Amino acid sequence: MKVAQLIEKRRVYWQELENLCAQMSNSRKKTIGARNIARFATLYRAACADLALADSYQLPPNIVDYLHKLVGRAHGQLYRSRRVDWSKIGDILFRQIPREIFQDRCVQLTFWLFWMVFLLAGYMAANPDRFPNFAADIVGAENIDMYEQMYADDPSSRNNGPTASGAAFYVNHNTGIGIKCFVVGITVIGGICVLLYNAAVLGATFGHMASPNVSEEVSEHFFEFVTAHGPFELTAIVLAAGAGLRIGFSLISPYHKEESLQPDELPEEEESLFDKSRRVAYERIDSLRIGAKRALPIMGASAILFILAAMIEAWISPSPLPEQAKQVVAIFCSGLLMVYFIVLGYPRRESDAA
Amino acid sequence: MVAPWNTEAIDSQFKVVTPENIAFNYQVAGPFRRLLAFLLDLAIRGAVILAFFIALSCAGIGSVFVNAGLEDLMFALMTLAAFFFNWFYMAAFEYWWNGTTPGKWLLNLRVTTDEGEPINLFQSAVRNLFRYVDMWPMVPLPFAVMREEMTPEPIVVTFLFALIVPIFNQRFQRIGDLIAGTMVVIEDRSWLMKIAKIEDDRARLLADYIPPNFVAPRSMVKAVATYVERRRYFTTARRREIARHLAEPLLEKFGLPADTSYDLLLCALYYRTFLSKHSADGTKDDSQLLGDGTMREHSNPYLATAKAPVGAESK
Repeated sequence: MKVAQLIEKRRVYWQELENLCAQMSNSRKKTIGARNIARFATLYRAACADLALADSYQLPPNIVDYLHKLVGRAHGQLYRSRRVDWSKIGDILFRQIPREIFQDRCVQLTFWLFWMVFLLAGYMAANPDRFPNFAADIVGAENIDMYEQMYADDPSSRNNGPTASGAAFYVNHNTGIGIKCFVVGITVIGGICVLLYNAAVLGATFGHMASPNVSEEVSEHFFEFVTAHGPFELTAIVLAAGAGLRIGFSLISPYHKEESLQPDELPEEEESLFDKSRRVAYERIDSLRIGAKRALPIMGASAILFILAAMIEAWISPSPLPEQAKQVVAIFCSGLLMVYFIVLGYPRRESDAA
Repeated sequence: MVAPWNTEAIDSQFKVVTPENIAFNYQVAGPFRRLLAFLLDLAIRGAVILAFFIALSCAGIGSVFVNAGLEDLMFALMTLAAFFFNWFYMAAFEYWWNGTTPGKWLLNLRVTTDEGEPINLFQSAVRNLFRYVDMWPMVPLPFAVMREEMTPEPIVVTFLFALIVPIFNQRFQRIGDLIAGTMVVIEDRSWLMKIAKIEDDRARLLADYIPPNFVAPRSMVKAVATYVERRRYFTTARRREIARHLAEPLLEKFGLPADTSYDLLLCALYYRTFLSKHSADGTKDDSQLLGDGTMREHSNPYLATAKAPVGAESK
């Protein structure tokens, strides 16, 4: 049969498939109807067969190109991404993520780095006799003046009391910083630098506020404002930086402990017979992907903490509640974090066995 | 988890093998087409925000809120909307629109996984969060005067990473793409191109002079087809120049006069292969009979110098 006739004959089906593709991308699957979907599948298979035969029919290249595009388009409509399984979210949030975070070396590293530098900077800034001008060097003299003016008044009496717009502002601002902290982590050095910078500035600010250079009233206002949302916010920074480092390190060293891998990421069965806790080396690009998969839940937890912290910062910190109430909130939050990371996150026997 | 790198192709084709065990090619999108899509998305975002503010200030929606005493709530909603617009506009569209954003849709681009499958929520989130890295390296404004005038963040984002990383891998993947395991492909919603029609009768006649037992090899068929589909864009002299390389040895092989038009010969070959009632294996269909025996003896009507009505337009 001559080629032109053949194409003329098949063209009807190809165009029908094209129309169905357009319909499917424009509307939801349910409104298309079972018959059309079945028709779509038939036509798709036929187009696949035509493409496979195109070479032996010696179809002209532009027809073959067209078939490639058509099959690609239909393929994209046929195979849609798997939806998120919301029923598992509780299990992921309260069982998997805390365990992962508890075991994650990068989070441990950022935790120690952050708190060491934070406490050190705090101590140095709080003793201006021994380390004169330390706080001004780290934070900047202008910023310190600004902070002192900001906290000159009672937090509850300031004109911006608890407001929804304040909450939104804190969500936007702080979560943005957290995401940047996470993303910069891919360069490892950059991530650690950002983390240390944040730790030093925060520590120096805290220390300066506690130092004898600052009037007692101002420091009281400062700590009253900061206590309530402090636990969540500082933890969130640590987590974001840890998640970023996880990605950066997976690029530097493409080894992953076997037990921390998903089943579909493991190499072939016979290769892993030897040793239970050996480390599996990957191509760097795959390692990066695995690292990202492990980092994203940590970043998710961090984002949730940032949002909670923003809520507290907007609604509780500037509110006229007595200072004791804010301290209770801080203690409660710290307790929650302890329970989440240590009680829920502590490695269990059944997870080892599994 | 070894990605099926397409090691053979040096063009931007990427081969995907479907579960139906059919291999088809995706064309991977290059940085500049994607840059255009990104700018379109940026413009759309800007336009939406602008429209939002105009609606708030001019259309009186803002004053409705203020009168109801919800000014604070309005500002909160605006800030949150800006936050999600900033960080999740792309990710949300890519998730719900099966890998396209408005800008990508306009330029026929789509995000797929490395294996050519649709992306999931995780992948769309990761590949878009890392857009921040694409802006690197960020350099401070060069002149102190400029720095003093623009106080808040005197930084120029250079987008060098977005340009440099894609050229070091075969699928033009950004950093975010590499991490999430995705790529951007061109998905033409193209129409079916027709087979080029050979309207010049002389080509059809010349086709009869091609020996019936001649079967063009596959690569030659490809070359001829590509030539014929594109020849309408060329001038006569250019056609001759291009067709020469293939036509000269063929003329010799078929024993045709050397002054035959090269262009006509290729058209004839195309006609023979795809359109005539000869089947591709060279057996002649009996119903095809042309009473033109007289022309054969007198002269060569296929002279390259003949004032050809360049009517062999193909469409």
